[in-house]
Amino acid sequence: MFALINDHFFQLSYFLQLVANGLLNGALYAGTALTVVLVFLTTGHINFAQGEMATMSVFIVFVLSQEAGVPLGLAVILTIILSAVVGAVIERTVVRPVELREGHGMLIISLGLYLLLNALIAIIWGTVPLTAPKLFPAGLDDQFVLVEGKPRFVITYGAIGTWVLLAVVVTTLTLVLNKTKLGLGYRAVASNRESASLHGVQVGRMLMFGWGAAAGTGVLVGMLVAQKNGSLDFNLMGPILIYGFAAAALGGFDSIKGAVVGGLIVGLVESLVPGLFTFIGGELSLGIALAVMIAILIVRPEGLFGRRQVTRA
Amino acid sequence: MSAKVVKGSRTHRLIQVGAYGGCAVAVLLVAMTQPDFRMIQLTQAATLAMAMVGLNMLTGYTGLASLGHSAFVGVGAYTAAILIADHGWPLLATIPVSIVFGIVLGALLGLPAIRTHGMYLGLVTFAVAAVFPVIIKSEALSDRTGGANGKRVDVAWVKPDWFPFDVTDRAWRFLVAATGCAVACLVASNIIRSRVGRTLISIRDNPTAAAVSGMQLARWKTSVFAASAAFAAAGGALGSIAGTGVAPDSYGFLLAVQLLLGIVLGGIGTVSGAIIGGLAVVFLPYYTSEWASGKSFLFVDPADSGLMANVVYGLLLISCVYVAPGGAVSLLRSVRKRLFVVVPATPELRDAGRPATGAAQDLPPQPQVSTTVKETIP
Repeated sequence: MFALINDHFFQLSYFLQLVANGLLNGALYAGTALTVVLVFLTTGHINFAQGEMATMSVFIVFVLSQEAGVPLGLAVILTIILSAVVGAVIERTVVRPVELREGHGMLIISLGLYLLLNALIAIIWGTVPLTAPKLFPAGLDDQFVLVEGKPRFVITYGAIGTWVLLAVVVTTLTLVLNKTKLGLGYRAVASNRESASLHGVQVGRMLMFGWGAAAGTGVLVGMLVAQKNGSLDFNLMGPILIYGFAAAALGGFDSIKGAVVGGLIVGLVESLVPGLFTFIGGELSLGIALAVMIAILIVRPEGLFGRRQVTRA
Repeated sequence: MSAKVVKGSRTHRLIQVGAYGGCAVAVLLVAMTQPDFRMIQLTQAATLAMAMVGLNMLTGYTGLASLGHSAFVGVGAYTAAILIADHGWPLLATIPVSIVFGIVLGALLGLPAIRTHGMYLGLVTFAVAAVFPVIIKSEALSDRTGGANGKRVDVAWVKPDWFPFDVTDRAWRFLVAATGCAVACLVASNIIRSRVGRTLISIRDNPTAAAVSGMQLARWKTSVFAASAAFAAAGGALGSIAGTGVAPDSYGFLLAVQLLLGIVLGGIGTVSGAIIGGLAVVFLPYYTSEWASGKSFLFVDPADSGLMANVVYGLLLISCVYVAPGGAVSLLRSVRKRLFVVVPATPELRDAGRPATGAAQDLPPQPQVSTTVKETIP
């Protein structure tokens, strides 16, 4: 009899390890989804180049910290500022002129940015993986062993750092969006661009803020992905971005809460389903993410937490 | 002041025959003079152009963006490869089977198109493009697909004796691919100019009005996805004639972007733009990496000179949106407009051209035609 169910699944420590792995990956997907959502909220566009922007900023952190000798923390902060400015500039110069045009202009531009950045990173820094700059200790012993024996259940310091940092980012963003005048303007544009404009909100600045915030958040997400991978190459965010899109689709493209919940769900599904069934190999987890995304878009196109778009023809 | 040519008049027909005949002669001349490696490139360009014709029907005419057409090309290519290599089928017999598989997969992928649009649809199709190589490489299928190593396909066609021109076997295969491309263009342009095409364009321009006028949007969108996938699959299957075999990673996201790039460069919403697009995605990377490999100071590693092609792709995609949103075909059309303008035949002209006796008669001489037209056009 061909065993369909993996019996290890019902061992507590094995199961908990799968859950922890899923939540770690899920946090990375949630972070990626967050950057996509921040752009989508005000502009209604999906930026395919979001992942490559994050990859490029991790390389800039690498250069600052390991080649120019800047302390890592400072290097990250400088890169966040730089990326946010560059993100806002890209919005103002490349995106804005075609943003409201009919047709596929925005899609084509973001694909063009994707190809351009990806190739530029590979040309500047080569295709050989580098040692990633790490925010948290990542040695073999840098972990809490919660359950001894076979199999063990461990949580690395990196995983805890990832969850804490993601929580900090989400809290900060929520506070900025809900408690400041800037956030009020941003939410006004997200809710209804024309009304916001009539009430004196500088719509253009809010669009730039959305791109800048997404690019800045992307630096941290990229750093966390590099921490988990342990290495840094030009394709750092490529695989993560697809899961990030799936997470954003699941949670709703216009919901920050949705991005986080969606990311964690996608991470858990991706970890638990191949863990439970023997006939689904780990390499098919991409297929699972795809299936989740398509199913959600068919059944509930606005996602779990999204707002249904009502448009007048 | 450019001359006016009435649509369907003898002059118009002459120009059409001249243009198409000229193209055919040019293709034949290229096949007779160019070396074999050029033939392989041109074969790839022709079969990619077939996929672009399909993509343009979907993206250009119906307004549904797809980043997943690489998967359809891949399905066609793998269907043909498996049937040829494992079951000994002749290449031409595999094309209908590939088309059927393309239609089925396209209709499946068209289902999300019913409820999603714009960027969302781009996303779904993007996921399909990303997952296709993974599925092909998976353990379960690897004894059929060859896994990550891909599959060798030998289509050892030789030039048949009845063909009167002196071409090599490779060039003969290119001519077959070019014929396939021409057939695809012909079928597509007939679809576009029919009631079906007008329906698709109406769905693109105003879906609500189209629905109110009785178009079943869901059915049309699924059908056009399926039809478009059929073109891509046929292109993929015929692509095996280039004799390079199939490998999973050549049907990934990069191919999807190349297909989109091709129709953007050639002209979104045109049929002939696909041919320019096919040539562009084959020869742009070839010439850029040739140019870049001579400039070693640009790179960390000279072996990465191929990356320069992606830089050029990216820059072209972005600048095309600004400089030439209509692509190369719209530029060519504006050149043609300086030479002559094709105007539709008005009812009076048609009656003048076809008297009640039914005998074939010439239209009135050109100057009269143009004045009549000037008066009747508001």
